[in-house]
Amino acid sequence: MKWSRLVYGGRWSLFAPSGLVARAVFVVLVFVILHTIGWRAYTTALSGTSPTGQQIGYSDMLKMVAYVLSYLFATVLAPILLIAAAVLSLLTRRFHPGEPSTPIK
Amino acid sequence: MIQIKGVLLMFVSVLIGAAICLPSLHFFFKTDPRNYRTEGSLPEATRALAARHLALWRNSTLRERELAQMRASNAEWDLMGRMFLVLSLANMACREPDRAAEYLEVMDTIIDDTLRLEREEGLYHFLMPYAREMPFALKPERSLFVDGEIAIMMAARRMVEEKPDYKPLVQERIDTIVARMKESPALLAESYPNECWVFCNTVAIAVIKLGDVLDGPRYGEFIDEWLAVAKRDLLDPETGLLCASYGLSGDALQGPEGSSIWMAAHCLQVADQKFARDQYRRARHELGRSMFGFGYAREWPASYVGPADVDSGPIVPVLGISPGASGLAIMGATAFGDTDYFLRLLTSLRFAGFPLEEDGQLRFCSSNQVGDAVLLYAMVLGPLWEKARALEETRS
Repeated sequence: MKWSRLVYGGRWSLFAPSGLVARAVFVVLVFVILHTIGWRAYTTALSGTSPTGQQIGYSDMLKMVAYVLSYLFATVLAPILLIAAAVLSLLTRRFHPGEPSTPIK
Repeated sequence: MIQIKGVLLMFVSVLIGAAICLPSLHFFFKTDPRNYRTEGSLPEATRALAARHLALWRNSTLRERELAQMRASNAEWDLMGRMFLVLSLANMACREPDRAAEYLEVMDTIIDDTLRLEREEGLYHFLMPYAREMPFALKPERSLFVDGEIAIMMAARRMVEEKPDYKPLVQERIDTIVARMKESPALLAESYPNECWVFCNTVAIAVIKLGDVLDGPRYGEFIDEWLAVAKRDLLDPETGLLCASYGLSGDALQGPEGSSIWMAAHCLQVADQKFARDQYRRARHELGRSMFGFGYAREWPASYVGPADVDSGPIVPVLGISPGASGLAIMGATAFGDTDYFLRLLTSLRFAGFPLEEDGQLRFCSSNQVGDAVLLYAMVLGPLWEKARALEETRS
């Protein structure tokens, strides 16, 4: 699959309702995985505190950033994408009758 | 080829999604404030928050790991965490007299361990390394940060139940604090060399007041004089707020700071309620903000450009959100009965504090022991200051 199709065309297009839903599900899945493996504890680096008792390391910061971003994506971005998918579906039917899922070719 | 209409439709859809979602997001994190703070005994969430601290002080391995994590960044937090926890336990003992013995035991453990560390490790154990870069101006070298916080821990313990061993220690330390503050024209003492922090000086005023309540009035005139000087010489001309720090002569080193002013206003409550409420009202106006139902506090007012530091935490650009100031603002809101702001800050805490409850113990992952101790104190404060006021009224 060409990467460009993920953005511009096909079922998983960024401009198709199903594509938006897929992205919402993806970011939630990433968050669930990071949460399950315990990376929430690394957010203590936000308060300038080391999660290990040593100086805060590069990998601690990386895990903190990854967890915080996945959390923000899952709690803020995913609901926006889901609502946008519903709205896009309605608008597509209005402006592209007969092409509900792939408005862009 | 991308159709412009398709891009526009997607863009409009996302905008509509954001317009619906962002203002509604806080509903998912909002909670009844009574889940955290009530007038009587502790609600479940606060009890879980307290349980973690009690567990830390009953398990030396856990405690050492936790304190090492904080000390790696800031040795001050070690002492501040102890102080806020002892103040919390004092209030909890007043709220739950049937559990007072359990709380007093932990308070004594903390205080004795702190006194031991001060004795064995010296003045600089609880200070950041830059304290050694130049000598203190007032001799002999002492830090009001250390003296004030240790004194208020012992005084709070004695307010719950007298402990004869601590009585002379509190009195001596208060005498020392007052003598050193009197050496400065602005009645301020150093926390660090030539740095007189308002946080520490107002903690000192609170403990001097508690000392008068416990052992009879000795420093009423000094407190009145300090308040007069503060109102006349120490307020920031732009905001009317006390500044974060001053030189010994009373010249402001920094502007009013979110991570200091909420605690300063709370400490002033025990000495001058009217002045304290005025400081809170001004801080709320200058630093308290909310957006989409989420409350937060700025570290600096709009009229002052200051840096992010270890106390403020990373400041969010444009909005000026400070995690440190926002945590302490919760304490300010509960101390002054600002229910609306408390609710909004609590909503933010549940969103951005990353709460984690395990085995009946609650902690906020993006915080640390001192941060969680401040939050615990915010949820339980009140009875200790009320008791001090009641005792003073009885005496007078």
